[in-house]
Amino acid sequence: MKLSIKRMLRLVSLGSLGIAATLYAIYQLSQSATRPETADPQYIQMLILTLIGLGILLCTTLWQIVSLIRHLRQRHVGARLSLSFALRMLFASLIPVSIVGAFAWLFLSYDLGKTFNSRVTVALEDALQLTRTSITLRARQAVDQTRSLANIMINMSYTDLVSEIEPMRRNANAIELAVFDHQGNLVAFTHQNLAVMTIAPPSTSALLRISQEQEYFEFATDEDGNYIIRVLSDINKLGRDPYYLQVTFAMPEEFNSLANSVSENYQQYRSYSYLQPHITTSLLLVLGLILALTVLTALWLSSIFGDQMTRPVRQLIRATRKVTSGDFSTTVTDMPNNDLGTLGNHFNIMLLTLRDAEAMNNRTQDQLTEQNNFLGTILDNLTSGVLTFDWQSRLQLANQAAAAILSNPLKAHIGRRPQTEPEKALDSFDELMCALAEAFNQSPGNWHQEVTLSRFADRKTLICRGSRLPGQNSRQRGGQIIVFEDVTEFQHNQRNAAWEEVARRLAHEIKNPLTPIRLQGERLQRKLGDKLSEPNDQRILQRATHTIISQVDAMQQLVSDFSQFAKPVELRRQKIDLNALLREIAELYSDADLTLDLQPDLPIITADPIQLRQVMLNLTKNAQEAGGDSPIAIQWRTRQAQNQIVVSVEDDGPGFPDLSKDPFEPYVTNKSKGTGLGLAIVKKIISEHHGSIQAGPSKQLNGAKISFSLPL
Amino acid sequence: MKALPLIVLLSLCRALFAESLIREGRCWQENNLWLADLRTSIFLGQDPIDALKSGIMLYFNYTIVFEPQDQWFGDKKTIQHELRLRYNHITQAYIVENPITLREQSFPTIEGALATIGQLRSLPLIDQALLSPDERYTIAIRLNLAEDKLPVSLRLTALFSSEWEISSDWWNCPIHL
Repeated sequence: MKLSIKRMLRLVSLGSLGIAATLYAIYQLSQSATRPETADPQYIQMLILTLIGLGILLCTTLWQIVSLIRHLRQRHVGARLSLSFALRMLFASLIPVSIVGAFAWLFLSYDLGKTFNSRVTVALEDALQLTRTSITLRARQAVDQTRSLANIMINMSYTDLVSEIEPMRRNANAIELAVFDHQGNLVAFTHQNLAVMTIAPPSTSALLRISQEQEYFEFATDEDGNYIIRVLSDINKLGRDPYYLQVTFAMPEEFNSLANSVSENYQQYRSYSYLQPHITTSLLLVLGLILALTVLTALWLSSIFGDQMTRPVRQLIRATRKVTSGDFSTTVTDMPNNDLGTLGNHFNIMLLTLRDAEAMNNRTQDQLTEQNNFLGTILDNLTSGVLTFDWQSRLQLANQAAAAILSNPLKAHIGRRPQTEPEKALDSFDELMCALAEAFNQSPGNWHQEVTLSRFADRKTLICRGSRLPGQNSRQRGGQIIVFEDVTEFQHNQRNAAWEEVARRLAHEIKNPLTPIRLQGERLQRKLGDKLSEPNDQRILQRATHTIISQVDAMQQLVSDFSQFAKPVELRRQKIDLNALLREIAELYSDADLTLDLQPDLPIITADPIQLRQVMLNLTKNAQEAGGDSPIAIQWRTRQAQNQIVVSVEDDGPGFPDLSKDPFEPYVTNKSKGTGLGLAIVKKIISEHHGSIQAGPSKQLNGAKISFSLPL
Repeated sequence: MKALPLIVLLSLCRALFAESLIREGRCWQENNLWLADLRTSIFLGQDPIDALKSGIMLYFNYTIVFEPQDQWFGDKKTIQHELRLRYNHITQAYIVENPITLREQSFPTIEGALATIGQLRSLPLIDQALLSPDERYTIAIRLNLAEDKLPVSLRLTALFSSEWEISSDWWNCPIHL
């Protein structure tokens, strides 16, 4: 700011100096121009001073303009406004200056002499001619007088000439009489002024003319400025070289006065006529210099005023820019005492208001942030999945538990409406929302629904609850919140506990009578087999006892399975190489279409190898039996994932037809034979190892896939 | 300083368009007085002649400089000798005036008047007593038309017209005391 003021002072000083110098010089020039016939020794100096002053003003103005253009290019705040203001001021001043200048130029260029001086010209020319005519008449008399005197002198001797020349002069009323020989030497002379001691001889041209025409006269002025007639005539001495008589006559005093007046006026008139175009040029030059000074001053003042007048506006623009960027600390100061000052005061008041509002907003934001963080923390620590939707049913928020339960990060669904057509579902979120579509879209209040997901990830059973959120838009339409929990394990454990109780009771109630029944059957066969004579009777007995024994064996097997399922698994843990164990078990299936996809360098785990062998046998058997008589391709795969090892068994069989029922639940089977306890026992063993097991479709073999994970 | 190029340019123009030429000259000492004879040819263009015949007086100026040859420490002396030329419309003659002697000479032709102006005979220059006996001097004489005595309205035309640039070269005459 200080620099700007210093620069401005320098510019103002320089410009003022230029204007002052130019004004002084133009004033002097204009004074000289009003006295066009006089000489002014300072004219050129004033002209140079004017040019120097204009040069200073021009440089100052150019400096200001260049500075303004540089500010424009650098996109300084308010530069365009300053330029606009300066241009308007310039136009506002130039237009009247141009009009005045143009008309002044027109008037100065007009030749007044042509209109008013024509008659004066004629009159002066006539007066001059009249004067000359009167002189000529007088000159004729003088020539005649001189001729007479020359004729008298023809017969005079030198002595007579010397003695008679003065009386002859007086008689002729001449100023002087002089006789020269043919070489121009003075022979005799007389002059009315006795102090005159000599007389200049006639000029060569005069002598030449007298030799041709015998007489010559000239009209001239004497050294006092009086008009005289000088006549030259030859004195022709017969047979001798000629002598010349020169007689000078004075014009009458009245004539001198009139002739001087005519001459002086005519000379002034001719001078003025001659100088008039030059006077016009001089005046036009002064006018041009004045116009140049005016234009440059207008340009200079426009740029100065443009810069100064827009300073408060520039300050306001800068402050406003800071406000738009969020800085409310810059107030405007040093405003002028006018409307702009009032505007600046209002701006400062507005800034204070905005500052208070910003502080309040910040406090509110902080509170909201705290609440959001609090809510976020709660949501992130919930084991239930939470999904919120806006009033247009677009997903707004999903907590970490929701992503974990649905095995989907859900980021791709944020801000989008959920899928409602099952055939277009692409992931577990779509599957969930398709299942909830009816309740989600149509239920006006709270609702709850159990959903089992199985298409895109592991089978899971979810308990979902939905509620409407408060109004979010102008129509008070609110969104919804869905809270869901994964109850798969819970349901499984509940049912498993019930089944274990049933199995325990069955084993206890049925196992005891089976052995006596089988023994009695064998006794009947042994005691009565030989005593029946009829072969037909023997055959019937044989078939009946065989049926009893085989069914009892089957029931014993069933009871054994139930007993195994019901009793707790006793693990004998030891460190094992899982890949090695699987390769050993796979040798049992050398005839089957079994492939191994084992990740090398699996870490050693602590587990019961016998129980794991049971698991793999049950799963492989389950896969083989799923295909019926058709050969089944089976693949075992191991992978390490974070802190666990995942083992999967996949086949290319028909897969699970209905995963809505838990396949690990007892008696859930699609096979014609079997107890349906194989997968239930597998799950129990895996659970005892603190692992997890899931059933689902195989994407690689397009059949069924059962995978279990064991912790490291 | 900014006017310096303009002044240099004007001086250059003067040198280029000099319209007078000093044909011959002589300086000598007589009775402790330095005298000079000079014959200068003066050529007037049509514009100055028109101005003259319109009644405008022309001032011819002889500038006579006594310049010590040691220019750094010497005392330079300058004197002016002016002659005026005008036209009388009644007598239709050109009149040469000497403002010192008030003598007027009338000439029917401009050539006669210019020849008289260009002819200096036994012009007394300076008394020898006014010159330092220890210095060696050079008398430099130049004839020019005094533009600063032209009417103001003619100055602008004279400034940019070569016809008004009437000035001779310097004629130098070294003198020995």
